[in-house]
Amino acid sequence: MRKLLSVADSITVWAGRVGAVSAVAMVCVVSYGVFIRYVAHAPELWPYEMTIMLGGSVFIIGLSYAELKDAHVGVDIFTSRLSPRVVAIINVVCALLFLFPPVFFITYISIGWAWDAWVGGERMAFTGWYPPAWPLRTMFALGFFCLSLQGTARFVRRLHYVVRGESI
Amino acid sequence: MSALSPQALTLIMLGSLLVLVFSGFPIGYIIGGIALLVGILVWGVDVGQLFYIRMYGYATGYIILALPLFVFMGVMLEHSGITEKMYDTLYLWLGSFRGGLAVVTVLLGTILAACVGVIAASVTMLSLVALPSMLKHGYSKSLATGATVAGGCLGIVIPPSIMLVVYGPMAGVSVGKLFAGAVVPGLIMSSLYITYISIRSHFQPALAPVVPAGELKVSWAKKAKMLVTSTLPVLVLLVSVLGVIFLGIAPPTEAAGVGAFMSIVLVIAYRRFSFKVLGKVGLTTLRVCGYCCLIMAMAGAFTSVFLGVGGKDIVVNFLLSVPGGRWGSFTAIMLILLVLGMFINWLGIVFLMVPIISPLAAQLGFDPLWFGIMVCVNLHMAFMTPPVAGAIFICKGICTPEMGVSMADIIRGVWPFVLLVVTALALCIAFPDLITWLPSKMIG
Repeated sequence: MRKLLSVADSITVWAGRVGAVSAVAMVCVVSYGVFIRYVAHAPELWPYEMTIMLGGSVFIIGLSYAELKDAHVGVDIFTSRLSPRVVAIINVVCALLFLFPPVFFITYISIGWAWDAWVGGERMAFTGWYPPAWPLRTMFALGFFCLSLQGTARFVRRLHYVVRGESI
Repeated sequence: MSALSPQALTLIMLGSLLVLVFSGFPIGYIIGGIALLVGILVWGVDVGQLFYIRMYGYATGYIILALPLFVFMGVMLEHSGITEKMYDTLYLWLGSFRGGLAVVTVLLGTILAACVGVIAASVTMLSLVALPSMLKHGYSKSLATGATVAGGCLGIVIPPSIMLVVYGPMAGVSVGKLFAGAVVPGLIMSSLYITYISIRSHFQPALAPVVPAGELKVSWAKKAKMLVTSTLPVLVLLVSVLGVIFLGIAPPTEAAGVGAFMSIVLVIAYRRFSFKVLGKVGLTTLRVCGYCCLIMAMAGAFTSVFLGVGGKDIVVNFLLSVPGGRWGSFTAIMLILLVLGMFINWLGIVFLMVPIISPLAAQLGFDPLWFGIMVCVNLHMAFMTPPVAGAIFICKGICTPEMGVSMADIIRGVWPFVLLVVTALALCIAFPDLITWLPSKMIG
């Protein structure tokens, strides 16, 4: 179990590295787009959609990375006074009711969209460049998959704490 | 349709949200979970598509993509060491005045606000740089932390601000015009803070001891040189980001990208650059964006479901039924935002409330731009108002035990500043031109 959890963590960490690179690449692409338009006077279409692809990836990969780093914060003014075990019980119940239904459902749906984009040759139509939509659609599916994975790992850890009273 | 009436569904959605927020579970999941359960109850499982489409829509909205770029820029600037340099300079220039260090803190907050759009970044920088120095010089803990928190919070109002980046597309208002509209109110708040600090420390000198003259003995030439070298990079950033937006040269997203790039250049110029820093900034950006994305997408889906079950009419009718005509409704909206802001993160509020209140405000004859700035200035108070006050938590988190600052010290210090924000809001109601004048001068 311990091993499985650490595998889940390391997948998210690797996804996080991809996301961090996307963020830096996004800065470069936008700046390059501005440079060729205003300085070199030779505008291109691709930076616009490339920005969308990279920026979308940053948002979606960020979901699981934020879950790993405990950055999805809640209002803990009441729960901070409770014992850690009670907090863990509340979190387990809330995860079952509010985390798993939307997250698993979106993951399932996003895989369908990614599949359709691969098979149907869907294209993005923000500009006349018409790049294929599968890279971003796939990114969405992977991002949600990582969020499901990380959410589950977190859930298992908390459940373990509730049952055994010790961290895993 | 389900058997439940719109009234019942509205009550279920809002009631469960307000109760479950206090479970301490991440608010994005709570919002999404409620929306999905109610959505399935009313329309069946197809409602799941709505969640995906909302998320895809937000994450690929070109204007919203300014958010990661501004976050990147702010986090990068934290690593540049520019805050320390500016603080040292302002300290030498203004340290000899009574209350000077608190004034410096607010001024620094104002300048930082114009460089970063992320509230956490400016509060963090001020708490790290300005606060220890004030406490070392014997400033009262309340005044020092109050100035730090309030000065840092200016970051979310004074452009570039990610709150305005998110508000704009939600309400169909130009982000560039919102940026221009926020300039004057932001400066008014900053001046009110400075005036308050000066007056208070004049009448209660014990709160803010004067810095011993020996510490400030530096030649004028050196002081002038420091002023130039520390403010010049900031000016370059300001021009490259806000200038191009105000002059209508580039949209906010492109300006943010250039600003982010310039912040990397700045870090290189200050010899603080390494690939480790770049990676760290990238990961922090990722974390902040993931956090924002969850709330944006889930709150967006929640609002869609809420509008679908007819909740909007119920809320609108309630707001219109408030006595006092359009100003009565306006006051009710502002109070609701203020109370929500005490518990729910501003991002969630913008996504939940703006689709309802922004058409209503237009219907009541309020200028959308003016209304948008009023909402954002109001929401920015949420960072300073307990029990859930992001800026206070950040400040408290950075204070070391040796500083001996308690939560109560900070809250006592922040309240006067909250009243000053309310004063600024009142001024903007009395003189709407304070907000609308600058945008009307904008090109494009």
